[in-house]
Amino acid sequence: LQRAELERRGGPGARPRDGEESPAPTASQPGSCRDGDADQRAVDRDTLAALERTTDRGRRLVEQLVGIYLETSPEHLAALRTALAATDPDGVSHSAHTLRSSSVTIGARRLGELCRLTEQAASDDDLTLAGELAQALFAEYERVAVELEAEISGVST
Amino acid sequence: VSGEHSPGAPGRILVIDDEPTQRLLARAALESSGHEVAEAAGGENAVDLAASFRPDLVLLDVRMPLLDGFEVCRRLRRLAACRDTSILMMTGLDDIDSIERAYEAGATDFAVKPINWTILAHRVAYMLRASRASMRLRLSEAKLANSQRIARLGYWEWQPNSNRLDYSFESIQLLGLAEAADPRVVLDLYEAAHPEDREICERFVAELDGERRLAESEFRIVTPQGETRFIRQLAGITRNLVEQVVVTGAVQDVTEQRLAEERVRQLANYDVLTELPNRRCLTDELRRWLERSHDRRTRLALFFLDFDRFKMINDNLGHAGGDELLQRSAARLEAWAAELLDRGLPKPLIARFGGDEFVVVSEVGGDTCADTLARDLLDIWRRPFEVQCHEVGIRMSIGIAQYPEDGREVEILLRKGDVAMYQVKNRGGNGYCFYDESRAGGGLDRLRLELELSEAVGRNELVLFYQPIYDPQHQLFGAEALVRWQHPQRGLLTPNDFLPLAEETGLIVPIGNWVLRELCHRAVEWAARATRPIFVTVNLSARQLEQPDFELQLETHLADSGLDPKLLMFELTETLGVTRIRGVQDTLRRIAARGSVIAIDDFGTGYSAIPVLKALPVGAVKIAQEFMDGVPEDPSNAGIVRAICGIAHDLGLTVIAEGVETAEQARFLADEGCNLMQGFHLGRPMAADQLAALLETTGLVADPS
Repeated sequence: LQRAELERRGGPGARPRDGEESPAPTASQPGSCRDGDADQRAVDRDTLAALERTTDRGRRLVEQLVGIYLETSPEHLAALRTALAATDPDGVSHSAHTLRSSSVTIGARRLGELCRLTEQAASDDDLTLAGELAQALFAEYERVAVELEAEISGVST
Repeated sequence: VSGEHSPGAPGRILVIDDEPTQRLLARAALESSGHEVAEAAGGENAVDLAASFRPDLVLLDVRMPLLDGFEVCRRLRRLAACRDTSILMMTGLDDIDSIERAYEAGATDFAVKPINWTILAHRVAYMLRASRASMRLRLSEAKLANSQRIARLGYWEWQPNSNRLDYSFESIQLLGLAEAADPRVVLDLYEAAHPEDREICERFVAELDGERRLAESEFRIVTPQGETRFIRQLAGITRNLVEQVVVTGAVQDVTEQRLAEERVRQLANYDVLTELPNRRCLTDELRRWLERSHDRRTRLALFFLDFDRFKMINDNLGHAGGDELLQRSAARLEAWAAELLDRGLPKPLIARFGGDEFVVVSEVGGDTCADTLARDLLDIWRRPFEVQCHEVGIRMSIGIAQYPEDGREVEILLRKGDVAMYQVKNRGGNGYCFYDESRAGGGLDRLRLELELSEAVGRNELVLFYQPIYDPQHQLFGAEALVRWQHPQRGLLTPNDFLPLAEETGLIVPIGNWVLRELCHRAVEWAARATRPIFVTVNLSARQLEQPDFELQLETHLADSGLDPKLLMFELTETLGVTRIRGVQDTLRRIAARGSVIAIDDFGTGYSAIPVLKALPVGAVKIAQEFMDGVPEDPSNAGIVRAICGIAHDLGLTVIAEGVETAEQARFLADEGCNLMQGFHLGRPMAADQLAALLETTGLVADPS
């Protein structure tokens, strides 16, 4: 049930929460190759590309952002673990929130959504759910980190 | 740094977010648009940074550890540097609660996360423009308010359609309203108007309703502290942006100007010393009185008052004493006027005309008559003044001119009052008299006379006449020298015509000196030719005696002429008063010691005849002319003459009778033992040549041949 709930509220693709939409991948649909690509990727390349165009710093800004993200995120993940272990809903909520905004910024949409759900569960005082969501969050972060490392080291994935 | 991404001038932007990627993004995006960016990771140092950085705009994250965005926002608003800064709060998309709290904390706007930084850079440009416009507006408002405060200027605005009244704080203060006042309509603004000026305000409001384009008024207000201030107000009718009629009023405190004007008016119209209206004010006011009298067919009396012998008072008391006397006199005049008013009589107009001259104007008729008022006025000075520990007695001369009998114009009435006053002076002062055309025919213009008299000696216009004095055996004893003024236009003037003026103005000193010199030389001529001594007597004024160089001058004349001082007799009037006589006592003793005779003139008419006789080296007394009236038939005068002769003889004094007009009087006087006599019966005053001729005919002169 929890798994189903997870799938329904924040499954892969991080769809808007209309709940009616199928969680199934849409990769088979013609002309939606990029969406399909996004489903498989932890970090949305369009977001990074847009960031590159946002300022006159171009690619350098993206590299700086990713650098900062990779540097600061472990702290927040550690804080999240500590808070879960200490059964501290406020700590869980706050760590998830902080991680979420930077994750969304660099295009880690699914991770962002997992952060939001964890934050919400903690706010609802449902630490059991928050804990389970956090496990998915940690796993997703590993994917994000790999992709970002590749991004800044110039390796295409 | 290029500003191509967003239009508008760059600003100073402070980014406050605990999330480093957000700060980096914000900085990158905003710097791309040319803005200067500072960042803070937390609320605590953000407030300090804001105070020194003075941002135009703050990007503030709601959710931060320790100090949340709302608290930071509130603290920023308390900073002087951030009171007008735009604060953009970044909130979660679904966080309606945060959006509301941000508004309450004083945020300018909010942006929903995740932020689209490209869009945000544009949004910042919009916000900066808006905040700059409102900043300029606020600055210009502050400047305007400052200048209005300095100019003590306030404004109000009334929209008749909506009946809405707006006003500046300054105008509430200027209009003297309490701080808590809540005026709703224009008339409410005049709550503090002076009761007498309320009508002005009501009329002003009525004029506004009457669609007049511009209205102006001035009125007084009474402040909550009870102070009266002058307010000038202007109002104009205009139309606002939506074409509604708007009445705008400007309120200005013009108290300082009015007070300055009042001071100028006061100085121009009032005498500084006595605070009475001055000559200029009197002239204006009298003109109005005359117009009113003309309309109402009432009559006016103008009293021209002048102190008798004021110069002497000034000489004795000093100018400060003289000034004090004038102030006290003015106070008594005003008290008198107030009393008249209390008695239901018309209040007179009182002014200081100049020097020691006052003018009083009153309506006359009915219960008020000029004679009564004149007597009232004389009474005012009857009570002596205590000035600088001296008791000073004052006598006044009052000349009266009447409207319409004596004239209908200010200048004529003043002049005629002056002339009448001088007529009183001629009679010895201390009294009043109405202007009399026939007596003034000679045109006794005092000022001109004074000028002319001052030149009379130099122009050789003075002459001495001599009235012979005989002994009871009808032997010529000598003559009394009497001064005459051969006036070029007015003919021969007698001492009564000009000596009071000479005495008052001090011209008596040079005149007396001339008389002495002339007399000495003439007497020597006669003495040289006569077979027996011919005595000469002359009046001596106290003022002459009081001159420090009088004795020296007398000495000079005696030495120059070679006249034996024993042939000189000086006549003093005892009405001088004891005090003044004491002052010249020593001088008189020295004169008497050289052989001249001191005589008391008009003996018996003064206050203290007997003590004077004892105090001074007197050798003779002259019986006043008035006691000769009706002698010897009048038992009372005859008794007085007899008594004077008796006393004089007992004291070993020579008695001289004046005004002997009949043979009976001469016989009576001879019988009573009077030593010498003079009068029309015996011989009129005559020129020196005539007296010389008389000496010859009476055989007193050795035949020249």
